[in-house]
Amino acid sequence: MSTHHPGIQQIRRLAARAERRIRLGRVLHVGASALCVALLVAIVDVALRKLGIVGEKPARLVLVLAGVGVVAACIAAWAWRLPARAGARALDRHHDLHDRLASALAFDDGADATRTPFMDAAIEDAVQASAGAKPSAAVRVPVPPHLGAAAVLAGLLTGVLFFEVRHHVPVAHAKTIDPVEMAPDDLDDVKDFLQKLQQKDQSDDTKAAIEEFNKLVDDIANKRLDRTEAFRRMESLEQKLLTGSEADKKSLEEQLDKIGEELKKAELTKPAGDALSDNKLDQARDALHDLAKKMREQGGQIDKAKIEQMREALRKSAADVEKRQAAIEQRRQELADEILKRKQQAKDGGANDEEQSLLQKKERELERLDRESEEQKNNQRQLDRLDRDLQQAAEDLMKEMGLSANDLDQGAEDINHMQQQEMTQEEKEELRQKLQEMKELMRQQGQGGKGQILRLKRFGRMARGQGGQGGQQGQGGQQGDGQDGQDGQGQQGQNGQGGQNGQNGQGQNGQGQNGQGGQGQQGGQNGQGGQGGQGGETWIVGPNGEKLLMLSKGTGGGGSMQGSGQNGQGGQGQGQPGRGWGEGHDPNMQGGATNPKMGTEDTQVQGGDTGQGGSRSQVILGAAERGFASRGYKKVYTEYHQVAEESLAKDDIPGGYRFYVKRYFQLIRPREDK
Amino acid sequence: MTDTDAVREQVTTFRKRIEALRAEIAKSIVGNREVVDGVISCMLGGGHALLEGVPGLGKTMLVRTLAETLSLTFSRIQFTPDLMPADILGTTVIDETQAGGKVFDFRKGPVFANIVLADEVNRATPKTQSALLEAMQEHRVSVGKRTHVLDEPFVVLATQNPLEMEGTYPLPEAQLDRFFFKLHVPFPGRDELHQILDLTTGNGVQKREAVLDRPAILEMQQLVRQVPVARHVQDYAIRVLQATHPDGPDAPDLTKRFVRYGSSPRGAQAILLAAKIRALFDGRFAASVDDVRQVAHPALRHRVLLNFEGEAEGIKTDQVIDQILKAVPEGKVEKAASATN
Repeated sequence: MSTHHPGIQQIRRLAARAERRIRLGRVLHVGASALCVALLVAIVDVALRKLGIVGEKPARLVLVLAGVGVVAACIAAWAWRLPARAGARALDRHHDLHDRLASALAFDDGADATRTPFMDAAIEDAVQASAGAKPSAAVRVPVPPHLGAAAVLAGLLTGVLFFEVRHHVPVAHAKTIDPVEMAPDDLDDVKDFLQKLQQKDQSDDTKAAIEEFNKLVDDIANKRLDRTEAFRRMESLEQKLLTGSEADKKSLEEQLDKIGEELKKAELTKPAGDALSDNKLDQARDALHDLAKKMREQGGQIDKAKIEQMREALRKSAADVEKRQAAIEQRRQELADEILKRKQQAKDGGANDEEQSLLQKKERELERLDRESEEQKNNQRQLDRLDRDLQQAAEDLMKEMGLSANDLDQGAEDINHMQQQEMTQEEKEELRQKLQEMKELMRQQGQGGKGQILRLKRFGRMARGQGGQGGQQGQGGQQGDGQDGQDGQGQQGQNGQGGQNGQNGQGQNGQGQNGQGGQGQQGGQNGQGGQGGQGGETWIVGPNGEKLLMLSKGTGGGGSMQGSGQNGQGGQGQGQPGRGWGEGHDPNMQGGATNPKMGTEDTQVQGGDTGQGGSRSQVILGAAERGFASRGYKKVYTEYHQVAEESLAKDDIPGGYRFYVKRYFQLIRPREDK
Repeated sequence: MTDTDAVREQVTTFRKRIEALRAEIAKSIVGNREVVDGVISCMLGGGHALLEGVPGLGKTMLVRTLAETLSLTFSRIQFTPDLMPADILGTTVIDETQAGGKVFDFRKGPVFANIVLADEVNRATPKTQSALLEAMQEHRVSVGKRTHVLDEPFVVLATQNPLEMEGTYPLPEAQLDRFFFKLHVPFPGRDELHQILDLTTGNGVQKREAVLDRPAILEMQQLVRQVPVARHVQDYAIRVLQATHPDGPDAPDLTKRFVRYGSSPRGAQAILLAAKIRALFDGRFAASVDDVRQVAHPALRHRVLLNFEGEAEGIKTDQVIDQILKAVPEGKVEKAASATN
């Protein structure tokens, strides 16, 4: 250990203070730089956060890291090694001591052996020189050069912090749906159907189904449903309507037939048995009522053997259903056991293809039996009461005729109830079919898109003769209509032609009746039509681009317009409303092309209803009577529709074409005046 | 009296002597304090000086004055191309004894003096220069089979003219390295010129007296070597020396571009000795970094050899040294524990 000079500690203290100041200056320097960097990072971070590019958590983490970075930089700056005797040398330099202090410390730190008198003298000299040394003067703590930049950045950060980034928050609009659309005519048709159905007596189920159907139609009409929801509700409704299916009905009929067969064996119950066998439930009901009445009135006079025969028939008929059910159940159980057994065998020893096939066959049979059993159970619920009543009647026959008659009455009522149920089933089936039609309609319209809906709507309006759009339609020249038709555009009265819609049916087909009710005075040549002669045939483009012939219903007013044909050949309308369809044909059907330079002017005039003409229905009916049919249009329509429906039912017609036929008849259906 | 007090007294005496010497020299030499101190430093450091300056700046006068004030033997050799080594070192002649016999006798040349002025040393042939430089290095002269030791102190003060290079033999690098300092004798300023003219053109020529004798000088030489140097000062001197080499750790761009060879370790020795002398000049007991800085130019300028590019660019070695002193940091973090001298 070296022997320290007594005054050296003073030098050391001064040097240490100077070193601390050096470190402090370094910390401020580095800290300011680090602060600048941290502030820059913070500005970017906060900006990114405000713009929503960075999440809250990462942003906070970055800020914390920036802060930690500054602290770490300061600590590192403080702890970083200084050059040897930096403090003492700083003092020497500042006080112009020519390394006296630094050299003295170096000599003092040296080993005693190497210490020379010169070194001691140097130390003493340094101690004396250090008396006036001041670390604070020697080491100035400088103002960090980046402090200004840091202040600017801090201000910038504050600005960014207070800067509000306005995010465009889209206004939460109520979610709209893309409503499914149906042509008004279709909706009217469905509504009509439902209205008619409602007028009948129905079970509660049917009423509920109709009500639900009505609601569905209303929702579609009011555009409250989108396509998915509409189909979902239709599917749901259809599922409800499917309860009590055709299979159940057949099964019920079979079982009633068996009961009928048993009842036929007794003379007294034969009429009821025949009716049941023929599935004429109303007759069966009446027969049982008659039998009950007979038993009450002539109870004592009936032959005992007949009564016994009847009792046996009643008992067997009641027991038969149970037997059948039991037999099915037994067979089902046997099959299940056999299948299980075969499966086990197959597991143990394997099975060849034949056995596998047999097993599958048995399984299919088991499934069939399951279904049959289920049907039986369903029917059993309906037949239970009848069975009980017949059983009771059979038992009561042994006691008292009156009681048995009551039981038979009760049985008759059961059959009546079943009949009503059957009727309800029919109504449900009708509903279901209508529902399917509607689904098909929506599918087709959905494929055709909105354009088709618009076309159908336009057509519907035209068909109803609404809105002088007829003029447009009547630009028949473009459709190959006769020139007459063209001339007829809205030139009301000028050419003695029909109203604004007249050209539709006239020039084109030459059927346009003349003003005198379409007497066919070759008016077709001129295409003159009565004022009411709006209706006509129109070819429309169907969903798949096929042409469909449509008969439309005109609604133009039947004014008393007098028109004179352009060629002077036309019938001169007396302003009487047209009463029927024209019979003639327009020889100029393939008239020359429209001369675009003829200076015509498209004018649309709304036909006014003066009230002098007949109603539209009268016009149509009249046209039907006098035109291609001698009977009323409604009758003709009904007949044709029926034939078409039968054909549809009999023949294998693809769904799409079936739709066209139905659609066609729907559109040409006779309508009531509103 | 403690050792410290003794040292104090020695240093004080040293300083007084130097002050007296300076004052005596100043009687003849106007200004040129740096050159005078440099020459004194060379003498106290046991080295030799190469004085470079245009003719008429008082180089010879300075040396002559120094010799007169030091009570030392002085000789002057005017170097010419026909100067032979024997003309410097001395020669053996056949001498007749009183008895009538003839013996070989060695006649000492001018080199046998305490202070030798080698005027225009670059005009002699290399052979003659080598003869002198051997004596400078070894402080002895070998003639024939006999070696003659030169008296201490032995100081050669050589001069050379930087302008007239025609017909000269520039000193080779190895010989330049033998010089402790290379001192530039600057052209005097107006005030100094006034003083020079006053001194030299009037009647009042002051007579110079010897203020130091040989034992005192030897004692001062001994004292110089006792001055301690702190490790960080010595380290700085070494780093400065390293920076004169193009591949040195702290070498600045100027060194890397224009220096062919840096200083030899003799440069560092010269720096440290000169730094010690400067500390004693100031009455300090240890050399400092400032001392090192002060003596770096005369100690290194003739030891740094410029490359062709440096020569072509007209770079001076003093520029390189300035750059080095700026580039080399005073304090540096030492990896090892700080050691002391």
